[in-house]
Amino acid sequence: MNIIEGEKYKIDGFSDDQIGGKLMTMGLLPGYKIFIIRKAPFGGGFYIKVEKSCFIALSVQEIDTIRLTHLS
Amino acid sequence: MQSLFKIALVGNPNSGKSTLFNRLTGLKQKVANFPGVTVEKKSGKIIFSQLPDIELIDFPGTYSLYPTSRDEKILVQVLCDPTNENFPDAIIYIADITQLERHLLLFSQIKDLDLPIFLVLNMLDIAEEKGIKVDIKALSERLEVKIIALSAKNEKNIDSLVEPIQSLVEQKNKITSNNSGLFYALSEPAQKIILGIGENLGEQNPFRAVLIAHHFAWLNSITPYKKIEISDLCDNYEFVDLKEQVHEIMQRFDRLLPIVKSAVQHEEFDNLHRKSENIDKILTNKYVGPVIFMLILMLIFQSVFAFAKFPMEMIETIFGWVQSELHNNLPKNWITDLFCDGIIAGISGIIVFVPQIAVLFFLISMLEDVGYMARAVFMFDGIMQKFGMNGRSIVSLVAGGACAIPAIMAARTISNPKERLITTLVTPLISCSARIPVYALLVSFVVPEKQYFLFFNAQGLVFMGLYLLGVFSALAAGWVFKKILKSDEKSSLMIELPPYRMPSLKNILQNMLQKVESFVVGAGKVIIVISVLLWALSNFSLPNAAKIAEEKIVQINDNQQLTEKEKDNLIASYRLEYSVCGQIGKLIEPVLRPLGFDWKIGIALLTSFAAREVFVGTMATIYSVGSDTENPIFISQQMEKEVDLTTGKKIYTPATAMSLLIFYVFAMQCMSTLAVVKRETKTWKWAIIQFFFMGFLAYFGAWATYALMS
Repeated sequence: MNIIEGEKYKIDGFSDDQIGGKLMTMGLLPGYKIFIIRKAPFGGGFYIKVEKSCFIALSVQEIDTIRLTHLS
Repeated sequence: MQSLFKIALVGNPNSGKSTLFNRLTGLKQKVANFPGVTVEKKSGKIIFSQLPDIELIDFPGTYSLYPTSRDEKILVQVLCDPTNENFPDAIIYIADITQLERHLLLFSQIKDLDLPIFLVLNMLDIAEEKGIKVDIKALSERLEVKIIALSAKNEKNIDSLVEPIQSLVEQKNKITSNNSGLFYALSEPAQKIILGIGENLGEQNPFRAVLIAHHFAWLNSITPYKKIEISDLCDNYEFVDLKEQVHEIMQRFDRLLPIVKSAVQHEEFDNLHRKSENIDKILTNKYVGPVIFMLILMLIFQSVFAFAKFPMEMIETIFGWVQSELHNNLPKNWITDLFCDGIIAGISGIIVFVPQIAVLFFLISMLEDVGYMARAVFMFDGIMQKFGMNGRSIVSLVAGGACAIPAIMAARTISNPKERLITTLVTPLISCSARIPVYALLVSFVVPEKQYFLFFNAQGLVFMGLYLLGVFSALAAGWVFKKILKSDEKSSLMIELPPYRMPSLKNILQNMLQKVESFVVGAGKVIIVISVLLWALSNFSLPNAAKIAEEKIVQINDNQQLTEKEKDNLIASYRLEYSVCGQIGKLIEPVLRPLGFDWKIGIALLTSFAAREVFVGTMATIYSVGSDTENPIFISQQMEKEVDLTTGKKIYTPATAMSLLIFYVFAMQCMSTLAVVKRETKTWKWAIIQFFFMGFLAYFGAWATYALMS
């Protein structure tokens, strides 16, 4: 899925046990909305705002393990 | 032996756990390893004199009992095994009061293990500042735990922990049984597995049984035979690891979130983060962000030199004075020499690094405390991963421009072991400040001083080229190690970007002191041993060497009248030539020939294994300009005159000098760094590998340079 800067997404679930488990414990729960604030330079990760919770940086590989729905 | 009452300090990363730990144990901390793994275990005695002796163990910060990294696994390893030597008698759980939703997840898990526990809610000051109000009483009732809210940064608040700790101790030997059941509703397979593991292992605590069912594969406390049985149980009861984990975490949040919601009043939640978000629009901007980072690093770099220069000179002066005073006042024999030139010189070699380490770590800790470091990690993760490292590695690499020792210690913050190791291995390739005097001495043999290339001073360009070569080779080496080394742990960025906050001076100073202390104690021992060894090598001479030297001097003296001073310098020079070190220099000359070096350079290479800057001093002694006048101009004049006796050509041609420069860019000539690498990787293996791969680069780099230029 192509993640676009400045867009909102809803977390549907996770495709990787380990990473998904960890993300949940950091507060990224299924059903939560996340907001992609910006992309890092040099093909790095994403700066993400988790609904009502915190800011978190995730690499491309990490965000790819989250099943997301694009919210318009 | 009656063991101490043990309390484990547990919490999420960024909960202020280390601050609280420092407050509760003062400076009496012990740093060791958890048994069997290279995970640092910090422990210390709780300072309150009114309490009996209590050992507080600081466990690595983790988000849940479903760990992913080795550091996080420790907590599960210990809590699943009541016979473990680190198994706590009680727990202090610390959470950030402004992040309760997430920080209470692990708490709810820990609580289900039925150990005496109380909850510390930290960052009360920030909560008040941001208009967050927490109904402690309601929260305490609904979570069924005693709660203390405080700000760990403020020392005065710590006394409020005496009473709850006291009651933890009193709860010992009282069996705490869980009347209210687990915090979450168990699934059917989980209920079955609890019974199964209860029968099989005799495990009484239901949640510990669940944890064992999840993690048995890597738990040390479960025998291989039992592992097979548990695996069968899981299959029979259809206990699917991930599915159960998701179920549990969702259930826990389902119960936690309403509790937190009813107890916490946010005036305007988003306000908390809005300021940080605005600052980050600039600081983490795709284009401006990296530039600002570079500027900040340059500023740090400048400060390290500016603030450390004076104390370093002071230290050198004081030690020089002590050395000469001792020489003058103690009887002249080898014991005095050993003491002054071996041990005192070794100690001075350690202490002289302290100002740099202190200033650097002060600034790095400050950036960390403010919350900026996490942003730098975010920005540079992409590029550093291409070279086998991680966003955090950039901090080490830049710090390496000042001194590799604190730089390597900074690599501790990298959680992936492979990335941490690569960072440790390549950081010394960055040209550190100790190389500057060597570069300065040799660069004049490569290009004359007043030569310009376009508008640039040619010497300056060579200098810059050497630095760039260091950076380039560090990245290249990282790339190679990435291909060679195996790792079972995935690279992970996944980092919280905490809101920016005012740094606490006390925290920063404590962190800085700890780094300095661990350097002095840890690296110090090795440095002193090697200093003494090098002293011996350059002072013990072959039998009748002294006689030969004396005869030669008498000979020269007959031809030309020498002053007392010249005579002393000559004696020192001959002594070095006939010392064991000098003889080794001659012995290895054939190996160094292809690089364009003679045995005199060989001696300088050997002595500067201790520390690069010793090169200049050794050159001074070899060319008998007297070690008290370490003036580079005198030395380079002497070096200029030096000719090869067999060919009659000059020794220090541009080719030789350039070859020597390249050698110094690459070679691992710093025993302090090796000692620190050994300490950080907990084995000599990597220090030795590092020494040889850098030596290999140095030798062949110098050889190629010499071959190309001559």
